[in-house]
Amino acid sequence: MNPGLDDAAMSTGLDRVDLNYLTEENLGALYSSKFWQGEILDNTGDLPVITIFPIRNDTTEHLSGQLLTLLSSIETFMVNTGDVTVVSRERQAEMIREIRRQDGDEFNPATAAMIGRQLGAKYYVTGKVGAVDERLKSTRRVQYSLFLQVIDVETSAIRFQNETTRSKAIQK
Amino acid sequence: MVVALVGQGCATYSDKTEAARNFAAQGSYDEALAEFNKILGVEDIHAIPDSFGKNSALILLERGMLHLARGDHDGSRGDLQVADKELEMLDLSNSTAGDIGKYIYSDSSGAYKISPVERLSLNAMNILNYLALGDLRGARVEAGRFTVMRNFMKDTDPDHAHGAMGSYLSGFVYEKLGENDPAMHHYDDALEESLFSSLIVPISQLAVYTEYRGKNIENLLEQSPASSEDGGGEIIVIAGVGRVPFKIPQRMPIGAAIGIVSAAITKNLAVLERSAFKFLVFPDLVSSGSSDRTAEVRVDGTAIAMDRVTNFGASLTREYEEIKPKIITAAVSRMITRAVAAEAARAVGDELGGFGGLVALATEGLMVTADKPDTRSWTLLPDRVFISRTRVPAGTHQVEVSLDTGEVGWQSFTVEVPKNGFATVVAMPLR
Repeated sequence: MNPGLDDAAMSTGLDRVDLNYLTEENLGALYSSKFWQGEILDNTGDLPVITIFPIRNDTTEHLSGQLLTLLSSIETFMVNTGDVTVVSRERQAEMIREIRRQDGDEFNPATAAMIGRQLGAKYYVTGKVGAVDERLKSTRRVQYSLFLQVIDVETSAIRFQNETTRSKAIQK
Repeated sequence: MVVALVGQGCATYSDKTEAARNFAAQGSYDEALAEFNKILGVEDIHAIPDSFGKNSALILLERGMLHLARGDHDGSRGDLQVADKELEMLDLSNSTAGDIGKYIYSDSSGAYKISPVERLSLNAMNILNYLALGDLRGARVEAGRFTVMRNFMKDTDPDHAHGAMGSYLSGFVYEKLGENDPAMHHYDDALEESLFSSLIVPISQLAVYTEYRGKNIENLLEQSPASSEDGGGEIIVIAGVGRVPFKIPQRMPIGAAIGIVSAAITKNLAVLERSAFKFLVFPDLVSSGSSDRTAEVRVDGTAIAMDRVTNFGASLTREYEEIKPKIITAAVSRMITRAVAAEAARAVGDELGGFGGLVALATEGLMVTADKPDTRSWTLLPDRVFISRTRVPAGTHQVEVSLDTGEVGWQSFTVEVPKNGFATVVAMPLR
């Protein structure tokens, strides 16, 4: 289903409407998941601590600004549920910068778990925006997908994952 | 009067950008930027115009190369990115108005459409910027955009799907991100054009981690079997030499032109017999004047071999020669259109008082004035690009690059190579 394809797109880039769609679909799935309804809402102790890591851009569009908006949306959703404690992204960004400085390495799952532990988080949220990009004679179509995961910091077990897709096209 | 009218013809792209090109050739980048900014109608060297004219995207490509030559990779990245998006929209947009103008008056009346060679160079150049900025994820986006265009060209125009430089650099980006299959795939594409010695070690190391084997990878691995990494880092040097040929307005006697394209002209050529203009003006490709230079690199005093990964100049010349008959055919068609209009004006003039000859001359002259050859092209692309790669221990290293430019001599760079990481050096002085 491509709900935005009928709307006139200014480009094949991800705009606010696309981001809202992808975020709402994924967060809706997260909130109604067994993981959230069980482990988060049924939790009787302190609120579980969640940290939100950068969303990886695997598309053919430069999305740094859009991905920051996406992270803010996820953070806002989490905070407003009142069900979890969310680690400040500024603090976490400092740690990622430090790791990159020391190792000159890309941010990856191993470093994510390590940072998560240091931040005292029980879970971390991560994900990627992917794209299948096709150019035909008179059309360019990009099929975006937002893949979101919640991972247990201690065990690296995936507690939740969901993927939402949306297509954009320019036609002659 | 005829001479005066021709002389007053509108300036072509190569006329308008001549000063900027000359400044760039002298290494006076700030002055060259100011010239391009005048055309764009902006003051700041990084400003993007509020509205885009038919040449704005092309000027941004030119300005992007000046930023790259100055080492302002962020500025270059921005200009190339905006131009890329704009050119994509133009390519996919309906340009009926431009097509009509092109037929009657001038090849340069429509918005600039990028050539296949330039198109495949665009994202390759921007990969350089992102590598120099240390932004592998950004470089990956450009590699992805390059791949989309290269696949499109392979499907629609396989004879022009040249892109060794883009394939090489895309492979490098994926390799450094640990995405081994796409890295090998791109390296296989790059090897299609030539055996690059600088890829022997990286491919033999990648072969340990991926099963992907293209035909060219297989051949290379027969000479250098898979080997594990050494735990150090790497320095990649990318050097651009000279500037590509560019187009200028050239006159050709009408007889010679018709001799070349008579088979392609379906209109009645007799109308040209009374034409006052016995030559046509078309865009001809000329050398930028950068001689046949090469590049050398030394890392910590040791000379490292360089691979020539592209010869944009030769590719653009081949591309131009292939379309030259079409260019001349279009120019002859426009000339016939003008002559027909002049004859119509002559008839009216004769009917009104016997001054048809004068009216015909004026009509044809005015139309000639409006007709200017399309000399647009991305003139500040480097003529050739060389790449070297060398494994080094993690730490500080000294890199020297010579582009055989005489007045520039050896350029020195100090780089920090992280363990298992890499450092990028880009030298592209446009001279």
